[in-house]
Amino acid sequence: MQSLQTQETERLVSDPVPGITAEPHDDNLRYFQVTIEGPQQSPYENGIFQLELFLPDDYPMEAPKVRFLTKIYHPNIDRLGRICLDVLKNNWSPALQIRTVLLSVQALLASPNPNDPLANDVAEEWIKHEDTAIAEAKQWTELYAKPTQSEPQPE
Amino acid sequence: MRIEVTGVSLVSTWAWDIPKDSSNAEHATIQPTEVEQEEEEQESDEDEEVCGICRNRYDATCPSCEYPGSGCPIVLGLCNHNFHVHCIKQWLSTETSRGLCPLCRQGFQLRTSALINKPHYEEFQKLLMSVRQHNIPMGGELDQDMMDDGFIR
Repeated sequence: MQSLQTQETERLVSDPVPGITAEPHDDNLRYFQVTIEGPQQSPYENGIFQLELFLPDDYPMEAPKVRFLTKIYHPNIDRLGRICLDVLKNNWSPALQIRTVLLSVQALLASPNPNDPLANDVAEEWIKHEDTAIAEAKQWTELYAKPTQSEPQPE
Repeated sequence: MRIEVTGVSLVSTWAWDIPKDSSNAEHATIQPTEVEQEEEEQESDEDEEVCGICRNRYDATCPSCEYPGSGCPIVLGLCNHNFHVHCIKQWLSTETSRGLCPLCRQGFQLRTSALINKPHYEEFQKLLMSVRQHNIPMGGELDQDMMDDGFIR
């Protein structure tokens, strides 16, 4: 009997999602190193963002824990890289998978939601001066999410 | 030429008999070969033959079981989503589930017409009742979640 986790890991490798990679850690198969490409036409375009994903013991009854390691200027992602996303919290379902969760995170980059903020200062800026906020997000992408940068830069 | 039969090995397969809902009744007459082909084509995550939670086949066990079959039956939801009984019970016992089907997020209920569900009615009724009691909306739930969200490495 193949565990759900092995099944998923194999599929992530054999049938990867465009713009997303997820590799299990050698010492801990529940811990994944993830990269997400910034969506086109978003302030995060051309950036490669490093994340970590951890499957709790109760997975899939409990959502995976996902956190940004690369610094990012986004109203729903805080300084520590924590993400405010419904499917990671109250709207988790065991029918969701690592790949669908990561797709949701990528979608969050494409459509920031300052009305349900996690990083309050960013959200405020986003609502009051959207142009400035977007410029700031672009600048952070340029600074911290350069594709050539091999090491993640956690805060 | 004479043939001497020295031994016979019998092989059998089995599958859960899942009654289709009435809208699918016309498909019941499809030739078995066609059905098989159809199943092969649908071999994917959305394949109807796998549990929506553990994605193992219905006739296999859920990850917490040792032997296929009687120890790990499936149950049929009113919403036409089917799961290993262990998988869905485990999900409905969590507070996050709010008693909802993992696939369509409607309140999960057993199909009363299905015989296969019969041994589980009472247990599910109790389970769903307690989930609903626990599910009193609370303010600031998210903040608490975030605080508990320590990473284990």
